[in-house]
Amino acid sequence: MYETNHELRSGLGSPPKFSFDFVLPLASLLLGLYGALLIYSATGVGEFWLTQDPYFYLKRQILFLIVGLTLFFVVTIFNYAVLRGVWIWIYFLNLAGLSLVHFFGQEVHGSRSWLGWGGYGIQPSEFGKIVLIITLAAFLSNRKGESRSLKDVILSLIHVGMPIVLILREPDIGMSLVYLAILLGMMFVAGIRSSYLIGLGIMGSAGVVAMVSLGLVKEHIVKRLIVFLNPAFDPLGAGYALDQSKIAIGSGELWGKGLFLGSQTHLNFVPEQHTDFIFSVLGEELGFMGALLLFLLYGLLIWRCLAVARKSRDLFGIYICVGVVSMLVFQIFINVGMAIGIMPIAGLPLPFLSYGGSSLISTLLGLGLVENVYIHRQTL
Amino acid sequence: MIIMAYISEDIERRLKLLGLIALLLLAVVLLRLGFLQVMVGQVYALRAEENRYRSVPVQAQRGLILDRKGKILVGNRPAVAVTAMPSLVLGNQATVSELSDILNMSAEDIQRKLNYLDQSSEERVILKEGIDEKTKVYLSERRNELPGVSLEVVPVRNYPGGDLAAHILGYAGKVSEEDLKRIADPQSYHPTDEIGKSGLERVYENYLRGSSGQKIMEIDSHGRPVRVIRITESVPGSNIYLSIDLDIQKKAEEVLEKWIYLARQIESEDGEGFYKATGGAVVILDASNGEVLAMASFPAYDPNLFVGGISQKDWKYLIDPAYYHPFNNRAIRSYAPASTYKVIPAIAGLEEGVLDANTTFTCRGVWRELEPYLWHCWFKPGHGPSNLERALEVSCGVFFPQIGLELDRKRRLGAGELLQNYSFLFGLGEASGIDLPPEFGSAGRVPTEEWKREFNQDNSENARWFVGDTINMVIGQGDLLATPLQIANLYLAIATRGDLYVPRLATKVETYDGQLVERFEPKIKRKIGVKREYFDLIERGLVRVTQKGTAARAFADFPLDQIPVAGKTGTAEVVGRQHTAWFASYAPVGDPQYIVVVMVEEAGAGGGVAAQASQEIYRFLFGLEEPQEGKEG
Repeated sequence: MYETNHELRSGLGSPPKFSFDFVLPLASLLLGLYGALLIYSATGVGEFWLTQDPYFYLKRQILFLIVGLTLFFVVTIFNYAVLRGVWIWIYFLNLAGLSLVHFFGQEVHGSRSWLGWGGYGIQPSEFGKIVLIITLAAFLSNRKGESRSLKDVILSLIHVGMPIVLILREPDIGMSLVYLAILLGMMFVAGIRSSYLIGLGIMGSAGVVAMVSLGLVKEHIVKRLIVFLNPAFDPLGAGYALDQSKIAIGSGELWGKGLFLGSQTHLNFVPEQHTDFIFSVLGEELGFMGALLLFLLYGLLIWRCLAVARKSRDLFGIYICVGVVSMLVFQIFINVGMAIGIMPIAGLPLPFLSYGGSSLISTLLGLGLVENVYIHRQTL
Repeated sequence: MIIMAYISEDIERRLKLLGLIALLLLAVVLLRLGFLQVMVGQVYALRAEENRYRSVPVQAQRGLILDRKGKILVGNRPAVAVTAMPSLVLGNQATVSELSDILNMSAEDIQRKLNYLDQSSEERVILKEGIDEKTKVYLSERRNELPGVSLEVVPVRNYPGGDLAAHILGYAGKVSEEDLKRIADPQSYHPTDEIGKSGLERVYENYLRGSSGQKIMEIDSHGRPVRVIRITESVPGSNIYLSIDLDIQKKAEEVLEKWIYLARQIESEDGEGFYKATGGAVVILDASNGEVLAMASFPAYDPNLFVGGISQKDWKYLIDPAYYHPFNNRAIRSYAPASTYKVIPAIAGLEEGVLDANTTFTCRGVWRELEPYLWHCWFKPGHGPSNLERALEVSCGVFFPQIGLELDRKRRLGAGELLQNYSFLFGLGEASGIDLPPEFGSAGRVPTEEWKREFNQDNSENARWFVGDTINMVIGQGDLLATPLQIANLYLAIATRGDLYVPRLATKVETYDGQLVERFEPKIKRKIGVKREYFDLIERGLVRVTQKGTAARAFADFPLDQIPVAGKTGTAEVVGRQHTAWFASYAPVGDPQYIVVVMVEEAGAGGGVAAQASQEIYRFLFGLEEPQEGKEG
């Protein structure tokens, strides 16, 4: 009885004694530096830095990058397979971590999603994504046979639903959507029936409609949705950010206005331009070519993650890779889509580019896990 | 085995599919980006530019108004001003009340000024200029507590003479809705622009305003200016030179004011206390070319009060009836001209053959030709027999009605409205054409049959022209009205033997750097074809007025032998009011240089304050010594 097809495959191929994927850390490093540069442009150039020190955000982001890359290597040391056995503990630790914000969290922009001390803060839901990838991958891969029965689907939903409930209570709708995306990606690869998928979609939509109509969704989020559907609505209120972001990006044209030379950026027309709207800085200053470069780097990462999945020896490894890919693609699509007006404003960070330690470090942790899967694929 | 292999292929397939979905999603974003940045990027680039820059008008310095010798009558001066941004201050009650305290302005005044601009404007409004050092220091210290309030040095209109020539100069102020309605090019004005509101400031607005420049500023998302990108300099307005002589104007005002105050100390002939002397006017023309040398009106106001907007308090004070309407330019408002008008029936009578130099009528104090209606001569015992010269000298109240009767007889025989026609000929009953905004009644009124018919159309009894109307008109009463300026123009026509001028205040316009823009030459409206000998005859009568006639007392100490003055007193009866005092004159006879007309409301006989004031003005004009104080009044 084979547990997975990978055992089968391991008999066919003979992986090298030691292998390391250099593309993952290198692409990450490049993306991290790209992001740091844009963050510096958004916060440190011209008269409009947000603090006295023009390098404040740059220095911190570089620090986060170093920490993140270090952790990338740290998580490659042990064999990821050990996580599979203890996933249930990790899962509850995750729920505990996500609960902490409800007791000790700080409220930022109407959401209580941060734990902070001494000028630094962490966002448990960011790290929770990675933990969820591990636990859900373990859970799915531990299911004997095909992980496609209705029972599996329901159990998976519960698996993801519990942290999502905690995150929705913060509330952080964007982040809970990432969790759903991870679930969706993994279940798709696990081979969920398309009818279940459609059913899930209908249920999700119904859930959203119910939440909005029951007033469970905060007003500003409803407004964002309305703005997305009708951008002319309230142009100086909720539509303002979107409008200004589009002006910034569009005005970058093919080659951009040049690094540090974006007027929309430096005159502060785009709100949250070093975090959620960082892409507007890139679009304005580096143009379509700058965006193309970014997407090439993202594409490189995604391609490597999928390649690792294909070379992986077990479902656990595959699911981890798939989880990370789902997370990345979803966040990129939603964030950039939001900045150019094809997605509602969801308040999700753009991987590697948006300022923020939790986001950057958790992304690198996830990629570190992928690297781990690559390194340890022959030991099974 | 087979099943597992199948699963394996299945997973492989789905991984590929996942990659494809990822690719698809990223491609969608990239396509959209390509559209946004490459296809329609230029549109957004344009919008980004619009976002980034804001153009603010740079106000042009208004042109100067100078007197004939180049002395500044209206200028500009830099002032430290408290300015406020309406968007930040208007809704802030604390700031408004604090400003109200510091600036000693009512909160309503502040709000009214802030409302000049719409709330969203990023521009600033001047709340008060010319603040003292203490206020300046206080405001600088409280800068952070008073958002939207700042101190700026701004050029403001300056009327160095205060109320000097205020009625001529007028004032400028922030452009208002009403202003925009009356001008031809409202779109060329910006809400913070100044506009001439009255007087010459208004008439020569297009010369004075200059053309504003533009300051392109880079602004941030809060509309705060970050830096100035480009400035298109403004072009200062042109300077207007006037025929007014600052010194003469000053003297005219001084004398007018003095005699008005003196009149208020004279007991009135009606026995009801003192003369009110509610106001008056002086017009001085250059007899050689009709230029206006001075035009004074009392009471006056200080146009500086309007700089930066007048306060409610000042405004209430100025419009209080107890202050006798200081905005009225009495020199171009109409009054019954009384006996100053008698030169017209005299000329008409001579020209129409109704009388000649020797025609004599006897005055017994009352004229009874139209009994039961009686016309009393002001001199109850009667003047006895008078020819025209003497009738003018003593302003006989019987002689002229008699001429009127003769003229009216001709009218009834179909000769036309002779008196009216001669009045029109000498510029009465129509606007003088002076370069000032028209005032109520500035055209005066020459009543005609037609006018009376229309005027009394609801009162058919009175719609007809009676002989009595002619008699009233002959003595400058009844429905006849004329402005001091028209009377001055009339006497100028006599002095010049028939030249009716279009009076003008501005003589030339120069650009700020001295290039001539336009010169206004003296303009004769018409040559009046009255025989020279008739003018001479009338002049002889007028000369006698100051020598031994109704103005003799006022000119008692005046060296008439050196400087003969031809003049005519007028004492108009106004229903419900005290008499209007007039004196219209010119000097020196033989080579006239000046026309002087003085009119004082509710001040008794023309031979009194009006003639006295005129006499004093001539002393100044001819550089004569001031008479001893005791002899005045």
